[in-house]
Amino acid sequence: MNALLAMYTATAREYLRDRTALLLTMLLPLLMAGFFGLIFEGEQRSAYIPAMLGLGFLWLGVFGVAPPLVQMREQQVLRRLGATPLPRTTLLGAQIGWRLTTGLLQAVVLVVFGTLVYNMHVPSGNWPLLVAAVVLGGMVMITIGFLLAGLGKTNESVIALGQLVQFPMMFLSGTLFPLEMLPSFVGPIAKVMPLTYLNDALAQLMLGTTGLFPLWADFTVMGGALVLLGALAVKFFRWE
Amino acid sequence: MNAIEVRNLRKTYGTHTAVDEISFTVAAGEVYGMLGPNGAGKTTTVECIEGLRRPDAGEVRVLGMTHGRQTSEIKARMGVGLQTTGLFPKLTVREIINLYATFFPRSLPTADLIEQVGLAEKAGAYSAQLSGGQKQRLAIALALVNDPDLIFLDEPTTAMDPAGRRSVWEMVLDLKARGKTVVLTTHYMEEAAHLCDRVAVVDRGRIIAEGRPDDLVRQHFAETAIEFATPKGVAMDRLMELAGVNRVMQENGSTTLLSTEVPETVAALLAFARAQGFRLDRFTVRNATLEDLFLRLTGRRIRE
Repeated sequence: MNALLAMYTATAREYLRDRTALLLTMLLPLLMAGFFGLIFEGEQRSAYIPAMLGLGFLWLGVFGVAPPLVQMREQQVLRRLGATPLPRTTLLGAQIGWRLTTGLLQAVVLVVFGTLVYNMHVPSGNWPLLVAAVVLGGMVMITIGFLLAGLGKTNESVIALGQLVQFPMMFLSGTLFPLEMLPSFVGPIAKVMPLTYLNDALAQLMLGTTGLFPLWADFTVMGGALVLLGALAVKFFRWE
Repeated sequence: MNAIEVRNLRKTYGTHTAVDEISFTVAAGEVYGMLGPNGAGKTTTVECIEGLRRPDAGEVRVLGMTHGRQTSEIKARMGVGLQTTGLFPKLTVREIINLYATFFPRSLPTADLIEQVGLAEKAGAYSAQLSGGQKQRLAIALALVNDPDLIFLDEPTTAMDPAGRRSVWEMVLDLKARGKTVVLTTHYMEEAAHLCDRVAVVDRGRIIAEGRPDDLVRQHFAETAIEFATPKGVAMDRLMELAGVNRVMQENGSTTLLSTEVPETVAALLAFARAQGFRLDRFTVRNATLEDLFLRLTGRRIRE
């Protein structure tokens, strides 16, 4: 327990002291939410808050999880830890725990911003499900990060892979453009990307609007994605 | 009791045999050195003993235990200083030691460890800001955090200046005085000779000589070394004919005569040099060293 807490704290410190990661995962989604607020008026201003949270989670997985793991592998930090009795599960638990904390912080920052600045009203009955969607969606994106770290050999290749994942997800999952605006061939692509369902669930729960899919479908797909991606991440994960 | 027993250890990577049937034992309380050039297989051997790599064949017993089910028990009682230090870059010296202390049931006070490795002034600095030598010293502090019975130090002084090297030597001798077992790898023969009770000379995945440093040298060299810069344009095979010379070794621009009759050989060499008209630059008479031993056994120097 002591070791888990210490590893969690260590992971948090490394993250908070790395300006790039902090900027990408915390500040950038907020800045983009502010930017959309300048373009649109009235209720439309808060319409982008859920999508920006989804985007923040995507960046958390692609840039907040994968590169630090690869750096730990490249700099032999994982190997050094492997020479101690620290169980690997503790190491992974601390990693996942801190990334999830980051995701929750992103959610809090954006919800508070939306509520105070854009008069967003999260329907009060939606809070428990919203927290559940944040945790589940966060876990899916973190798992994508672990999978990328396993697939890429070097820091550079992981960042390249991350871009490959990031672009289609960012543009084709209703994050930046509503799916109705995009050509019809995008539909099938959007339907295989977990971010589409996260965005859909977040929009329904935060704004109280009707979504593309029923909530239960969003949760089921995200749960399934978590199991599938989790299995792949375990299969491909490399300690050295 | 033996701290380490290794029998017929073998490790290959593809077609490359990194460790080729290595066997040795290390007694409890002993400082055991593995001396050899980079790529000789020292690190792979040590990492197989630490449980960081799985050998392809052979037996390894550590503190009477074997890897597998007893690995975490072994790891709790050993300390490891890796050649690549493997430090969290954005944590401070103090934070890293405190972190590692939580991995073990028992640990030494962080402040004492920092003091012991001479990093008191850097206790609040990120490990990324440390010099190579300072990182090595932090790695040694981490190896000692659990007050281990058995300590592995892989090339502990490689990035260090002479003062840093001497302070690490003192640390190792202090560990020995406290009854700890130390296994260290090095490619500095002075280091091996100064610190180690016994040395294994490793080359191409094999132990080519093993024993107390003095004995090893004496076993292989009854002679004294007479060394000088190799002069140009002189027929060197004639050196073998000088009085008392048993062997001539030439490498990297220097010539070493191994002689059992030093005064006769020196006199003959001076006469020969005068007759041939060459100068004896960097002329030295010294006892043979582990370096000479390595050169004799392999035809190469340890540091190339």
